[in-house]
Order: sequence, then C-alpha cells, then structure tokens
Amino acid sequence: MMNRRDFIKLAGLLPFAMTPFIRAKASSDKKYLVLIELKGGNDGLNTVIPFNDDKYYKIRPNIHIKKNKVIKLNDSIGLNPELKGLKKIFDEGNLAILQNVGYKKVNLSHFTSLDIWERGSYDKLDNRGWLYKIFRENNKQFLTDGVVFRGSSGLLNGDKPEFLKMGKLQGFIKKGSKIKPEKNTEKIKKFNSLQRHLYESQKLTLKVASKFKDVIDADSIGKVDKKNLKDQMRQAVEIINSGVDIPVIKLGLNDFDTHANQPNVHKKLLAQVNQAVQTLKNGISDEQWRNTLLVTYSEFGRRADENGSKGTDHGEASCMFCMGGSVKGGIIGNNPDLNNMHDNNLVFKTDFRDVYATIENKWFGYDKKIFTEFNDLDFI
Amino acid sequence: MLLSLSSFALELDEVRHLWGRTGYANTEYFLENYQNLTKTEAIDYILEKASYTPTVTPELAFDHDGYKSVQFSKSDKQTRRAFQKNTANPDKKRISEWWHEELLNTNNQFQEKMTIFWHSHFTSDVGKVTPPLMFSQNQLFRKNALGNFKEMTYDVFHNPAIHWYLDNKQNKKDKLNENLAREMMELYTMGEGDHYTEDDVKSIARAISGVDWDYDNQKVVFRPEKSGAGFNTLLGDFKYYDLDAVIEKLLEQDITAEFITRKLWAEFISYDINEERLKEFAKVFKDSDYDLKTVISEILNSEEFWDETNRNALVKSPYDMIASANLFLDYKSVEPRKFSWWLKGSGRRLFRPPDVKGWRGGKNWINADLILARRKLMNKVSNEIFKAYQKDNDDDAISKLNKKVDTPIRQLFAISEEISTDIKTKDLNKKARYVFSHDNFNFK
Repeated sequence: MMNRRDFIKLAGLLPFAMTPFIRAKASSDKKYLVLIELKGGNDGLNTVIPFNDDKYYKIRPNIHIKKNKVIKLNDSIGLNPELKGLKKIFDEGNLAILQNVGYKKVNLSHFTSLDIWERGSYDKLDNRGWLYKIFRENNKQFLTDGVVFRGSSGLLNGDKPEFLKMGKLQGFIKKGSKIKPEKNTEKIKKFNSLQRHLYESQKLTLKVASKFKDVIDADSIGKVDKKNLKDQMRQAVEIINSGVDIPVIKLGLNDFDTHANQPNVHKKLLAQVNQAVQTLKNGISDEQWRNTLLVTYSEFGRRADENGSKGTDHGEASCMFCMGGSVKGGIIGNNPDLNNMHDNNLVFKTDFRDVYATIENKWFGYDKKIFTEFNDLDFI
Repeated sequence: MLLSLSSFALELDEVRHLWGRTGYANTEYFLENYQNLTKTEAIDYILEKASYTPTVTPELAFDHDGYKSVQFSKSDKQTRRAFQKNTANPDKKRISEWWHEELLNTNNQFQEKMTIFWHSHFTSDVGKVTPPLMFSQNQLFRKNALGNFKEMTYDVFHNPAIHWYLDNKQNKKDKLNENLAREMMELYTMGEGDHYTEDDVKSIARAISGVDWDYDNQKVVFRPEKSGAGFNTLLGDFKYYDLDAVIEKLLEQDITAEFITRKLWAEFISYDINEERLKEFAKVFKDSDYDLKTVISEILNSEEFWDETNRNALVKSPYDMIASANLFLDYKSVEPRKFSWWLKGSGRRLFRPPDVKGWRGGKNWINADLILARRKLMNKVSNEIFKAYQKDNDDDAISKLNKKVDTPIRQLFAISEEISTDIKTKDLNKKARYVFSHDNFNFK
C-alpha cells in the first residue's frame, strides 16, 4: 500500500495542478519534528498505567495512580489523569504510545544516558547529535537544523554550529538581527577554534534572526516564561506557522528526577505536557498538524518499586509519545511486565534508535544512513 | 625544562595570560608588581596571596532553625506562602547579592574564582536548600578554595546542604534513596564510567542512610535506628562503611584525582586534554594528599599552560566578564543588586546551578541565546560604570583611565587601532562598549 510519504514522493514528480492535496505554498511540504525532553528521567509507569495489574499497586503503595482516576485506553492500560488532551488525540487515531523503550545495558547516570540518547550511540568520542548525523549524511541543508528552546542541545551538535539555542523568540529576533560578526578577513583567518565557533554562531544568529524578522511578528508573541513548556510551545507554533525551513524544534521541561514526593511534582509536570500538546494542536492548521511530528523522550525511566521517600530512583525502560496528524495511533508494545524485571526496573523491549530510524526513514523520508541496523516502527 | 621556561621575566602577554586565568582583571597594579618577576616567582606570589580570606556574613532575615520551624511545621498553606514571599524569597536575593558584593570587592580574586569553581562542582541550589545552609556550605568552599580537596570533601558531606539538595534525609536503611549516593561517585569524586556498578551505588546509599541535622553546629549526624552503616562491599572491598569510610574509599581511587584534575585542566589550560600529562598531574595531586596549591602550581608552571596556542583558549563565564570589566576600570559602581538581575539572563546565577552537574562552561557559553545575553550584559555594565564617572564628574578617574588606555591596557586588549589615546567623558561610554563587546572580551 502506498503511504503518505510515498505519495508525496510520487506527487513531487507531478505538476502542481495535478496534486490537489499539496498547496502551492512552499511551507506545506516542510516537515517539522517537535521534541520534548522530559529532563531527569520520566516515570513511565505513572504516565501510562497498567491499571489492571495488581502488582503495580503492590510495589507502589504510596505513589500509584488510583484505578478510577486513570484515563482508560483499553481494558488494561490507561493514561495519567493529567493527560486529557492526549486522550483526545488518541481517540482521533493520532497518538502512538511506545511501551518499554530503552537500550541495552542502560546507564543510570542522567548525563551519560542523555548523551547516549542524543548521540544515538555509545561512542563517547562521537560528539555529533543523532539529528545532525542524519541531516549531514543525507546531504540536507536548511535555514538552520533546529531551534532549541530549553535543555540540552546535544542532539543537534555537530562539527560546526548548525542550530540555535534561544530562550525568548522575541528577543532573539530583535537583537539577533542587529548582531555584527567580524568582517576583517585577515582577522578571521587567524581565529582559533573558539573564536571561530563564536564567529560561526554569530553569523548563523544573524541569518536566522533576519529571516524570522520577515516572517514572524515578534511583538505578537507576548510574555514568555522560558521554563514554561506551554510558552515554549507557543514559540514553536510561531515558527511552524511561519513556514520557515527548520526541521527540528526542541523544548524541555525539568524536574522529572522525582526521588522524593513524586505524586505532587509529577502531576504538575504532566499537566504542563498536556497543555503544551494542546497548544500545538490548537495553534496550527490541520495541514500543518499533518506535517508535524511531536515526540517526547527522557534519558531513562524510573524504578518500578517506589523508594522510602514517596519517590522513585533511576530506572530503565519507559514510554514515549509520538503524535501528529500523520501518526498512526495505537499502543506499540506490550504492557510493562512487572513480574519479569531487571533489578526492579522495567526491561526494555524497543530500542530508542528504532524511533530514530523511523524518523529518518519514514518521517523525513530519507534513505536510512545512520540507523541502518534498527527497525522501523509502525507509527507513521 | 621547567627552569629554562620559567627563569626569564614575564612578557606583557604572559602577564595577561596568567592573570586572566587566576584573577579577573588586568590592573596596572598587577603589571607593575609582576612584570619583573619570573613565571615561577609570579605563580608562587599569586598562590601565596590567595590564602584564605574570610568574608562578611550576609544579613539574612532567618537562620536555619527559623526556616525549619516554618517550613516543616504544620502551618497552613497561607502562612507558608506568606513566609515564602516575605522571608524566604528576600533572603534568597540577599544571599546572592552578598556573593556578588564579595566578588566585586574582594582583594582575593583567585579565591573568589575557585569558590565559584567548587560551587559548580559540589552543587547545591538555593531553590531547594535554605539560604543559611547555602551560606554555610559556601564558607567551606572558601576555606579550602585553594587548600585541601580531601578536607573540603569531608566538610561538604558533613554539612547538611548537599544532603538536603539530593534527598539524602529521606534515605533510610530499609528504604534506600540513591540520589546522593550516585552523584557522590559520578559527579563529586570518581566521575562517570565503568569503574563502579549499580551495586556500589546501593552500598553507598546504605552507608550514608539515616542522616539527620545537628542544627546548632550545622553538621550532619546519623540516627542509629535508621542508619545502614555496617559491613558491605564497595568497589570490591568488603569492610565496615559509614560516611567517612565511604569518602576515604572514594578518595583512595586514582580515578578521583584524575577526575578533579581534569576539571582543573579545563579551568586553567584548555578544553583539549593531554591524557598522559593529565595522569602526571593527577599523581602529583594524589601524592600530595589532595593539596590544591601543589597541583595548581604544577599546572601553572607547565609547558602546556604557557603554550601560545592555549592563550585565549578559554571562554569567560559571565562573572569573569563583569568582574573583569569592573575591575579593569577600577571603579566600583556596579550595584550587586543589578548584578544579580543581569546575570539571570546570561545563564549564571550564583547559588542556582542549572542542574546537579553544575555549569558546563566552555563552548556552552557560546550559543545564540548567550551571545545576545552577554552583549546585553556588557552594554549594561559599561553604561553603569560610565554613568558613575559622569555623575561624579570625576576628572581624576578619567585621567587615570586615559593613562590606562594609553599604556598597558591598550596593548592588553590588542585593540589599539580602535581606541584613541585621549578619551573624553562624553565618548567614554561608546569606547567602553566597544572594548566590552569586542569578541576578544569573551575569551581568556
């Protein structure tokens, strides 16, 4: 069967008049990948809850989500009560829940594990992020590879600055478009690697801010709290709606490292995730929703058994959400198996790089060059 | 080799290099006093001058007991919210202003610099830990800023702040909380890697469980009924472990000396590390029983430190930038209150590390967001300084400044072609802006 990706490839060969589903507007065929990093290690088991498993309640006497509160998706699995907006997208068939995602010999250091996720490999000497590798190996060039609104930007790191980190879009546009990189070629030639890095970053800032100035009304964005996920998403919506050529927008939310007093903290965090998802869905057209893939990830999950402080320590596998108008909804993978764990941790069944492979191949529609040994998943 | 490197008097560029890495400003004072010294003499002098300097105590509204009585009593939500607003938040502001004041007024810049270094290493956050405890932890960093790392490690883990920050109070022998135990190895001593296992994390969690505070002495104590101290295996060694035995075991590891020395390398030399030389420095460090002056002296006297390719090879933190601008002009006009506020935007608020790993520094200071924030910061600093010059109509200060621009400073910043020798009050601001926004001002 021909999927959407194939259709677009085919449609690209035809004159515009014959492709009724693709508007002539340049923005309509651009793909956006919006990533939300849940920093600190999200507790998958209280995000997507196996509410019919007695063991779940037994190992979490103080921090479980009550069965009658769970938003049920079928007779055994459901969403955290804060995720009402995600349920709606699930019902529309556009939310894929990936269960038991992780990797072999998981490293329980926040920083090392995040590095592994961001590089898509265990190779400590490889400083390049997984998206940078995908874009360069496929010879793709964009206005910029991505915009990072919060958290780590290792996933876009490369030999040369090709992404922009910014807090507030408004300030970036106003000040970034006035920046003056060095012009004296003699001086530039003599730059050491740090000076060159600064120079390249300045040039990129100027280029992108000047472009944004033409297509985004900086004053309409309003007040932004950089930490707030919804505010970050409002800025992401501005970028998507402007139709610029930037494939990746990365957001971040801190404080998922819930070693103590988890219920209150986790609840508020998931409420922010829910709000941000709704902000995206409501902020863009149906067509742009089909061109957008939203993915959540975290460096690892948390221990299945609660600890002595109404919290959970670092764990292994966790769940991921993938959503968007082109996403094939459903639950991929079995419910977490609480009777077969590894050191009280959920055992991983799906390698996170299967997700990357799917994004490389089925979302961006490139030849698989980086994640060749990983399998495409059936969410697109 | 070392002797031949060090036996000649310092060149101007070398003075600038040494001072940029160990202090904040290129003052005339420094040039006058150092230029005739050899490298080794100058380094000895700097290290000697950097001996412990005490600070004033910030005036906080509440001591730790006060915080405890409100935060943990059964008081209602409204009372607690009012306390947060009227007492806790102002105290948080006050304590950061206090540090900024120290930073601007200190006569021991090297100690200030190393205090920030240790704050970024043994992280705690005033967002979670009370201001009085953050202050008492900060005193430990000062005491051993250039003293003994082993002593500092003991002190830091006998102070409640870090236990509070990483939930160790909730760690009990039969219900472990691994948060502090893990970071104790990964971030504070050995560094992440294959040299420890998940079982080691659990062993440490057990050994340091059952902690409580002794408020009068700002020390941690262990409650026997909740403490898991006892016989255990840690790093392959089966014996009795309590907090002190754990620290001892961690500091016995060569990899700990290497991990700390690696950070010192990136602080003083460059971001490119020569692994072979690193091991040599680490051995010196460990053999000296973790004496910081010994290893730092070794680093500052090394060929690598003086190598010309390592000049301008480090990125200044926002503090480096403000403090050096301010001291450079020898004019104490930046109000600590404003200082705190500006720093918020540039990614380095003291007492508020980005996460448990502290500030990453280096290239991480250079991205679109921070490039713009740094520019804004330096514009504000120069505005502020020159407003003060103008207000005071300080002819003397202006002529002093002219003298500086005329001679060493001009050369130091290598921007002679842009700065005229005669500066008038009205265009001072413009010129200072130029100096501070100059790309080279980002590096040291």
